[in-house]
Amino acid sequence: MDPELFGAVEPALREALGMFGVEVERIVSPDRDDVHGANDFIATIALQGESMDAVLHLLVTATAAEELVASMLGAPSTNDATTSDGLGEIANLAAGGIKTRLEPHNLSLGLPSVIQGRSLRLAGCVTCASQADRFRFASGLVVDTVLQMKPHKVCSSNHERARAGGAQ
Amino acid sequence: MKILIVDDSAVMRNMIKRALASGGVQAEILEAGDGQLALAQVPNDPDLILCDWNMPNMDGLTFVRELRKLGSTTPVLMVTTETHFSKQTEAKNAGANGFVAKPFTPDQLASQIKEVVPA
Repeated sequence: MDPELFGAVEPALREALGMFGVEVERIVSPDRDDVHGANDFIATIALQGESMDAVLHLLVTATAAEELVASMLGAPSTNDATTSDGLGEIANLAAGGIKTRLEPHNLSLGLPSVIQGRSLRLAGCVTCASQADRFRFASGLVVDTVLQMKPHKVCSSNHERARAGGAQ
Repeated sequence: MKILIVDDSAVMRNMIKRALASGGVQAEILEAGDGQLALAQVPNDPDLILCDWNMPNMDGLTFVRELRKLGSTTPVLMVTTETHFSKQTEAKNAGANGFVAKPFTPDQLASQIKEVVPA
């Protein structure tokens, strides 16, 4: 585990969501299967550097995604493409916050990607260190984060794979 | 003032527009989804360009280089998560005039604009 990297997730997410007035609280020991399943979004973005590579995932229900993106727009999101766009930007902002907090590592961000589907789960990676967190915002909806960090040239392929049932 | 906002996220372009209004910056807004599309907007003579760094097709750094090759002196503020000193130096060497780090507040955006566009 890298406490510097994993400790950056919460303040970075708070800062990202705070840009459009959404405050969150971290939930300790959440039941991770209690909210997802019907229609979810996963936003994923890579952070790459000389000393570490990492991937940040955000998993939210469609309802939570729409609420977050409505806060960004100041109006309801009118379609899934806009919701995906907004979620990707949240991942970008949060990853940017992590990067800023790890300045000496000189990380670079990839472009965010977003998938939508039923019963999405974030698969683990045996060679990656990872940390999962859940944050609740005012309406009671939640955003799950998973940050995975890999030593260079050890984990080559599928740590960012999401196991999806009926992904769209 | 005419401001060209260059970002591949339409939601972020919308947020920047709202931040400009909240920060008291009154402007006619032009938009482009990447550097290539932004170059096509240059003949519309923006007074300021707010440009993301990481974009598909043509990224912000390449856009700034191409813009300067065209002889444009329009101020460019990079609005980006790429805030490392080495990145700032790289962008300034390419011709960018300043940085606004994402996430930002409307006041921070307005303040940076005042730095590069005289009232």
